[in-house]
This record gives sequence, structure tokens and C-alpha cells, in this order.
Amino acid sequence: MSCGKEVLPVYIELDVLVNVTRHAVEGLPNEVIGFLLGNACTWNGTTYVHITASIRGKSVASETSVSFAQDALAEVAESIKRDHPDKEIVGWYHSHPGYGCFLSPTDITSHRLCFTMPYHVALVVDPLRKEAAFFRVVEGMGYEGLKSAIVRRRM
Amino acid sequence: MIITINELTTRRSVKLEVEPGHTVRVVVEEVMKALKIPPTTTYRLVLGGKEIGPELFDKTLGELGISDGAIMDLVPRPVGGAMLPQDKLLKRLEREEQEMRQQGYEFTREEMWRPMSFPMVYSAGLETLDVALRYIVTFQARGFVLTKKGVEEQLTHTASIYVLRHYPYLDPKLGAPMRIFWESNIFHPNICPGPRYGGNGLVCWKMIREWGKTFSLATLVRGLQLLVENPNPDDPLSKIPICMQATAFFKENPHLMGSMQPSAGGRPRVVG
Repeated sequence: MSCGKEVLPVYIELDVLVNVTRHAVEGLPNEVIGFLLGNACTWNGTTYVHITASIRGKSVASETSVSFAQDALAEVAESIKRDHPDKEIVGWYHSHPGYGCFLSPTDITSHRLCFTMPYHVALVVDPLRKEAAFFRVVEGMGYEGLKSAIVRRRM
Repeated sequence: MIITINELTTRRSVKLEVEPGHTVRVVVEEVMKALKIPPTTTYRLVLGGKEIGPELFDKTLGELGISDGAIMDLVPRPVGGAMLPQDKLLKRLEREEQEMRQQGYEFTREEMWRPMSFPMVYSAGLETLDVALRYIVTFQARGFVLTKKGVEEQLTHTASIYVLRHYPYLDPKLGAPMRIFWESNIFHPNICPGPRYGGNGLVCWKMIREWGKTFSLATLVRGLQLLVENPNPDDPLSKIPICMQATAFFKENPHLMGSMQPSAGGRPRVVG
């Protein structure tokens, strides 16, 4: 991995991306949803997110929509406090099985209402096309794709 | 009494002085104001493994057993949905228009991008849906009309296909991503004549209930040709008198059902 001077908006640990992808594959043919945990950090005046964990949400899903089931968020809150007390929800992920990575109007509205910080990110994975991409919502412009890097820890 | 609410996307917390008679709604509103989050109902409060959603927002803290010193979490509840961005939808439709032309179907297209109201097939009343485009398609199939002289053959038909904003996906609430209304005249158990012929143009059709995202406008029109030629008198539009009349007619004349035309679009077809 290159270590240029540029600070990317998103850094994600490899095992998190693997977990998210595995979740999306297990959920086929339906969409799946979950949260991304980590921290917002600042380097040279640029804020970026470092994603170090993900949490799956029990969901109600069809081929074209997905949301958290009743009491799924209670489990999410408990798990964050128990297992990740020093992390915050820095974004969310969901899958678009077979139709590519982008934010639909529903996704944009949802992201805007639920993730109010400029560094909050949305990860969309397509387990059939084997694609994944990060996005954020830009006021008045819809959304934009974000450059990201995968972080692999040396054991 | 004092309660604390932690917001989990920013790890900020808000301490509030509240009365047991305050509703959850005003508490959540105050928290959102303090955190500068736009007021919405896309958040849930969590207390001791229990989720408090909008259906409980009018309950008071006392009714929900929330007491002094309670620490609660505020968690967002995002919803993911599939809808193509406008440019991708238009690109897909361009390909489907090409396919319709290749099959010899004539059509006009009109961009709508606005909500429209439609009569519903399975219940009385109207439904309002976001329409992207409207196609008026003309095609050939062996059908019939009822005139003063009696039942006569009619080969040319016109129908409107309203492509909805969630095309090409089936939506759990809105159903198929298009609505079809007949424009021309017809005498058919499952199709009501168009507005210019005294009907509302409703089409009762199984295929539209079983829409799959691999279907296209051309397969839809091919399906309409088959429907014209193969009425289903066992599942008529039972509230529409002319459809019931057609039901009786086709039950008495089953030989009039079925295709006479081997080629799509009713044009000569080179076979060798």
C-alpha cells in the first residue's frame, strides 16, 4: 500500500471489510444492513474516519429495501457499550445485490437524517458484482464517492 | 429528575432535567435541538435493551418507567433502498426503447418526474405514485371491440405504460415499477376500454404482479399482446360491466381466444 502524503477520507481495517462482505453474501438474495464503528481523526487539518469494527443489524429486508428490525437497535447499542466502548458509529453499510454501488434517493435521505457529521460515511457493497464503495452525502449535489484505503495490520 | 442521553454516532451526551409527565417526543426533540440534528423520527431511544420507537413517542417518561438517573442511548435507524439514479434509469430505458423498436412496436415517450394518481385494480380508490416516464405504445394483436353492430375484430391497440420512479425494481409497498392503462377500445374480460371509449383503462394482469427486474418494456408489450389474444374469463374485472359482458361472450365463444398471428408486432416474418 502506498503511503503518500494525501490523507484519504476513509481507512477501513481489512477484517471489517471481510465481515461486511460476508454479511452481504449470507444475506442473498436480500439486502443487509449494519453499522460501521471507529473513530473520527484529524491529520494536518483533514478529518478522516478510521473504521475498526462493524455491527450487523437484525433486519427486515427484501430484494430492494432493508432496515433494522424491532429491537435490533437495542442490541446494537448494548453491543457497542459492551464490546466497543471507545468507538462511535462513524457510518453504515448496506448491500445492493446485483445492481451496483450508488446511493439511491432513499439512501441519501436516510444518510442525511441519520448521519449528520461531514465525516460520516456510507458503505455500499454488491456481493454479486463483487464491488464495494464509500459515499457521503453532499448538500445540494446528491452524493459523492470517497477514496478509501484498506488497513492491514501486521501480526 | 435528571436523565442522560448518549448519541452513538458522535458519542455526545446530553443531560436533561425532566418531569415524569414529559412525553418521549419532547425529550427527543430537545436532545436533537441540543445536538443540532435536524428533527426527524429516524432515531430510536434505547433503555436497558428495549427500543422506544415513534409509536411510543407520545407516552410519558413516567408511563414508560423512566426514572431519575436513567441513562439512555439515541441510535439512528437508517433505511437502505434500491432506486436507480435518474441518469442510470434513463440509460436503461434507452436500451429498452431500442429493443421495442427492434421488435416493431411504435411508441411515444414523455418525461413526467412527478407524482400522479391512478385507479387501483384490486381495490376502489386512487393510489399516488412517483412517475418517471410515460410511454404510449401501439401494437398489433387479435382482439375484439363491441360496436353497435356487435362484436368485431380489432387488430391495433394502444396502451399507456407509466414507468414509476423505482423502475426496474419491485417495491414491497408500491409493487410493480409500472402501471398500465388501456387507451384504445377493447372488449375483453381483463381489460377496460380507454377513457375515450367510456372506460378507465384498467388492466388486470398477473404478469404485472409478478414483475421481475429482468423484464423490460418489450417483454411487457409482448405480454400485453398475449393478454389481448388470450383473455382469462376466470379472473375478470368483476366491477366493470363491459368486462363482465366480455367474460360471458368469451365463455360462449372459446374458439375466439388464442393467437392468429405468429409474428411479434403482427408484421410479416421472414422464416427462411
